[in-house]
Amino acid sequence: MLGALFHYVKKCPQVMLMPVRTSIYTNVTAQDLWKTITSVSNAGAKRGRAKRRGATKFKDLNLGQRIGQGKSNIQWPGLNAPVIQGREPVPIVERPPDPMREQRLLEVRNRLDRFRRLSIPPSERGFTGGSPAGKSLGQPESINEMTFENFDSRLIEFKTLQRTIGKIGRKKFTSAFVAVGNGQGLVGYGKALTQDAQQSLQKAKTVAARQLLYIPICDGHTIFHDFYEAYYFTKVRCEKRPPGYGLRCHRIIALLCRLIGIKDMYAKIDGAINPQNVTKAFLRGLLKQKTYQDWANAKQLHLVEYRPEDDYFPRLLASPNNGQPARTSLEIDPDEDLDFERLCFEGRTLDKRQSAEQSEPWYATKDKTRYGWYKYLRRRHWETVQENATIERLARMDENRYDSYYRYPDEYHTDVLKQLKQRVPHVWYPRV
Amino acid sequence: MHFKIEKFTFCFITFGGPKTDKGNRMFRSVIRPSTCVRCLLNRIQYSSTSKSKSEVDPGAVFIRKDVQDLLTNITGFDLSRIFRTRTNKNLDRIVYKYLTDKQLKEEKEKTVERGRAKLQMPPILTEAKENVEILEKDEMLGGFSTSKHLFIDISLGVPIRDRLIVARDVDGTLRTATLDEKRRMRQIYFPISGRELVMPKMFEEEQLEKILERRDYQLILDRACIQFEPDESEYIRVTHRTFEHIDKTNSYDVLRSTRHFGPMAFYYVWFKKVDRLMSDMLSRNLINDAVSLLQLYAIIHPDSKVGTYEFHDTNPHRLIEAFIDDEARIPDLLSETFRQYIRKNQQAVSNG
Repeated sequence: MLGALFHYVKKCPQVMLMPVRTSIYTNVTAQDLWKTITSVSNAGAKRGRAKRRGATKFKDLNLGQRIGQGKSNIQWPGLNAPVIQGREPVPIVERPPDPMREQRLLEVRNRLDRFRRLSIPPSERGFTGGSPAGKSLGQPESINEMTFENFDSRLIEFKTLQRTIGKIGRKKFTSAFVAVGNGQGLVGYGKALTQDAQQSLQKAKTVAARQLLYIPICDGHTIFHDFYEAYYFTKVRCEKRPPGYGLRCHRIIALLCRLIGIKDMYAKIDGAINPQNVTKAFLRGLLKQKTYQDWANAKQLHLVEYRPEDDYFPRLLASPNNGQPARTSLEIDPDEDLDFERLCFEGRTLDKRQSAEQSEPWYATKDKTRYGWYKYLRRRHWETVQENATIERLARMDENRYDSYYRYPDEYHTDVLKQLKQRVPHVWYPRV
Repeated sequence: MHFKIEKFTFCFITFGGPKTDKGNRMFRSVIRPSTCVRCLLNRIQYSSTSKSKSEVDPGAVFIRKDVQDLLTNITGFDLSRIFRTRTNKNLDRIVYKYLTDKQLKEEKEKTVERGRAKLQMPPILTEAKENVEILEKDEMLGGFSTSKHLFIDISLGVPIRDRLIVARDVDGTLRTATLDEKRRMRQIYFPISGRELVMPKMFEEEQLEKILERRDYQLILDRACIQFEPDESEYIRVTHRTFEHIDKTNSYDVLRSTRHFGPMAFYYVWFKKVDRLMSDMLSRNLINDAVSLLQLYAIIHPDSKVGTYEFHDTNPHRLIEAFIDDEARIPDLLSETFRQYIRKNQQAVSNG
């Protein structure tokens, strides 16, 4: 029968017969279709699958569209156009397709999504995009009459955990570990565990603001001397650095330094890197710092400082003021350790055997010289060795710099044929 | 500015010398010039050709012991300013030491010595004269190469400025090198760290003015000391321009306790521009320094009226008054500051 119909259609071209193919898109409703991807079993719901990962929600795809408007922009009188305009009937007209239609629909449908990743400016970002750790939580709220002007609070650790409670089953909690500081020596840290994420952040902030510590800073930019401090399995080694060095530390320690007001320091964490233990070890070590007077009294000798920026001029920091005079070289035992650096670390020394290996990355293989790490080193050798010389050279060659390097012709070609025949000049990039 | 690269070869037998020698010399050059100033001046005097009566060599006067003593007195010796913090590119670790009383004393003495070495003054000299001697004219060798060849003696034990540097031109003449060629050859074979082959743009007139506007005098003078020899025309131009600018802006105190204060004072006395400096000293109650300046004036210009003063017994106030009457070029300024100085003195005396 279909075959007969087909032959009939071929003879009469005005009639168009389109066989309707039945499929799920035509037989089943939208709700049933969506159910196939959004439905979650009871057991799954208990495990929290319906909320986060299985989070495809039913979207009404009809929103943003009108009956009569589709991909081909046709004016149907009675549907999306008036039947009579003035005295004449409106014809069926096909207008050119609307290029913005797809975009508009996408925008409408995207607005239906609840969870969208907002773009955050760099100054407000945390450590990574995935976790809110490292982000600023603003000023702490004032307690009674104490206002916390100039204070900033930062989230160090944010964890979600579950606890099995009798009769209820599993319950979700969020733990927040926040540090608060004003950049001038005052810091505090606090922890909170609540069911709501926002509440735990605020609670931790208030706890931290209540428990402030004062940390003395040397010359407004660094610690007084090197120290080593361990807390459980986290070991922190901090070293004093001259102004201009910067904070070369783990991100948590750098965050704390910014809150305290330390600008130049080197820190190395050995052992377990647990954020809470890191902060506790670091702050403990800072509080345990001794004044120069204490150091001088401990050894009954004068403590002298040599700074490289002052061309190693000996500056007397402290003399022993116990009442007893400084010891003479005869009174000092020749085996006594007077190395200030070692005394700061309480006798610990660095294992420097691995330094040569550490300076090369793990992917540097010695037999691969034509590509890889060694080729990169050879390419960069000139820049690193002749850094200042290249700067001087480029400064000298101000006007003529590009002429000698880029080799442009002197005359500007107006001849079209010459332009067509001209090949792209071989560009010599200066070794900057 | 293009300069062709000349081929440098040497035909004297070279011995591989110990590296420590050059290393020590380079380190020392940071504190003082590459050769002892006295030897330098001797050599320059010996090699200078013209010495007319009107042209007196300032170097000969500068090196005199009494002049040096006076200049060191004027310069002062403030250790905190000699070892002041420079722009900190050195991010090395800070060193802490435990010292006994005796060791502390020794360290202090050592720093005083180091300070004195840092205050060694670069001399003020006349411009070196180029004397190119033609050693041989051989036209048969003409056209042997497309560029001239320079030769330098790199055998051991010869001071750098004494080394023989000769050039063989393209037309075959063998001659001693010009001043510029000598400078370049010395820097290539006996380099001083910090010294550039091409004069840094900073010393060109336009750029120099910009730095002078910023009053960054120590930068210019220190770098000029490293870059040039004291008898080079560029060094003389740069230092004289800097001293003129300091005189105009009355910022003499910037250079106190540095190695450049002595040469600056010598320059003013040599060209008889002492007035502003003296008034600055009086306003800072440095009457002894003012008298030392007058003594310097007497040594450098023995023909002037100041040469007739007697410095041993007379009251310093009388000396200054006499100077204001006789030789001062801006007597009004000087007398004004002198009057203020006397007033301050009397007030101090009356207050007790």
